[in-house]
Amino acid sequence: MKSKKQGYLMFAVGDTCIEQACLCAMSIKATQSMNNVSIVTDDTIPSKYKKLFDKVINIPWNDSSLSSHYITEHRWKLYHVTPYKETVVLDTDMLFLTDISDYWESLANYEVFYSTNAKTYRGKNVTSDYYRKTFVANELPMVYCAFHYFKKCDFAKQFYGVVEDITKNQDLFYSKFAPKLTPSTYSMDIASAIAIRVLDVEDKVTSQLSRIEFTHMKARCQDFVDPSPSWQDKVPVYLTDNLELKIGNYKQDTILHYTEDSFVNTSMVSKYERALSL
Amino acid sequence: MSKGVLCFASNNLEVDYVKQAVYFAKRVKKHLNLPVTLVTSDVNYVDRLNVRTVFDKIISVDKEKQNQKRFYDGSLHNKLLSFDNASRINAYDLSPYEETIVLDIDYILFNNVFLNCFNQPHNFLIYKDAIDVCHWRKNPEFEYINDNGVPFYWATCFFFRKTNEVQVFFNLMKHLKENWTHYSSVFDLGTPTFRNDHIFSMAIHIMNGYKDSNWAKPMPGRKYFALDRDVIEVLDDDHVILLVEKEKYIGEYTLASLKDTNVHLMNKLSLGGHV
Repeated sequence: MKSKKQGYLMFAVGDTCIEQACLCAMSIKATQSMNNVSIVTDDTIPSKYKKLFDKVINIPWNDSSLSSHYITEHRWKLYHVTPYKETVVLDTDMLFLTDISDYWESLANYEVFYSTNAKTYRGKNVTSDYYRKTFVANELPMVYCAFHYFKKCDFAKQFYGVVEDITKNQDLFYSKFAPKLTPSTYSMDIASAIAIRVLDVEDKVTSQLSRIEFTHMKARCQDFVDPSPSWQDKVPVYLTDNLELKIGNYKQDTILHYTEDSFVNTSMVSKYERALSL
Repeated sequence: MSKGVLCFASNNLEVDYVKQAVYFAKRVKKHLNLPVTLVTSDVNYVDRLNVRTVFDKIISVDKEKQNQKRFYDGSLHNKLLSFDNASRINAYDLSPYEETIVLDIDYILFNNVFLNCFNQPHNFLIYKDAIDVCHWRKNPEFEYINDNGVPFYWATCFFFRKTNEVQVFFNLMKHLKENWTHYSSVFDLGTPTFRNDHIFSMAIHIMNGYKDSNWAKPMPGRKYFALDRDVIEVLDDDHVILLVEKEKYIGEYTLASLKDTNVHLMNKLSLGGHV
């Protein structure tokens, strides 16, 4: 089959991630004019959701001696298995709310692009560094892997080669590039930031002026004076039958990175299924 | 187009708002040279003071059901008093002017920056951001109407032109007021007590399409304010000197002074001693 030009790609392991990926795919189909989506997983996709995906791709080079229980250690492989010429890699816990297909025109100007702009549910730029202490302490670029882009090209191949090296030699790279407040677990965000630092390509793969952004719902990002461990304890969620989402009294748009597994419920899934006649 | 200032003053047991409105109107005349219309439920008292000539018009309204709140006079002294604030949302209907600046009577004018309202294209202006004269105080309640809520706007000072769109905005506030118990719950205020700042903030948020947007544009200049925990020491033609509460030393104060700068002085008990 001739490869499609553009598409979204997710990586999923385990039932929760599969459910989230299927919901994300439904939201893409329901809202996006450019709505190609594929998934990389060794798990089984429920039959009624299979048609959401252009391709269901097995995780390649699944060397058990190499892989740990940290599933993110496979994510460098996405460059090599994507069925698209241009790919946006998504975390599974994302929900598309309004058509952002015009982002692709901006992304086409890059060979690799990482979003650095995240918003609160109230539409303000995320300024809290609560979850980003390692980035701040080590002066790493504040990139988010939850939404990033690459096109098939020599530079992207080189870039993901470096990410692969970092993944396979985590301790070495962390000691060199993230010696302060070093996280105990592998982080694709930090691995990507280190790759950007190694290649010295921050200006090439990020832009502070980019309008490409998403809403990041981690609780401590929301500027609450009295934060709660779960943002859902602070603000209610309303999803209409027309798939319009309000968090508190704020109508949400573009992409929501909801970050908490309990956000997904059967009522929400049913509304998307009804909208797509699944 | 006709231009003017609209203010509201109805007395309670301890605060002579009408007397403060007279002082306010004289400062408007001095700095803006605009007519002032007073909306009051105390017309008889205005006549007793023989101050009708200070105002362009006096509009009599019925006494509203009054809220109660704690009035501070410095950080140690306070009283629970009633206040009448419900007419503000009727400013569109009440104003005799096509272009109106609405000000609290404790908004003390020292310059003419508000005249710029009339030389700009936007039909509704209001402050969202303000500067506390006390540097150490954090006021999250002036950022958002509650911890998870919508942005806070200051109903103490706004400008509007009479247009269909602005009328929709004021009609929306009437609807919110008529169904206040419901909307105070929807907006998670935690109290059914009516507050103008909150109803303006909620209505602006709705006009923004329930999003972070800019239907309401900012008033010209900057809004400075002093809380009722601060005490007015000197108030004259061109400057004010305040005793601003100290951090961690309740009942002790630091001097602060503003010159030729408009300022919202919330200590009405203290203001009453200077007008």
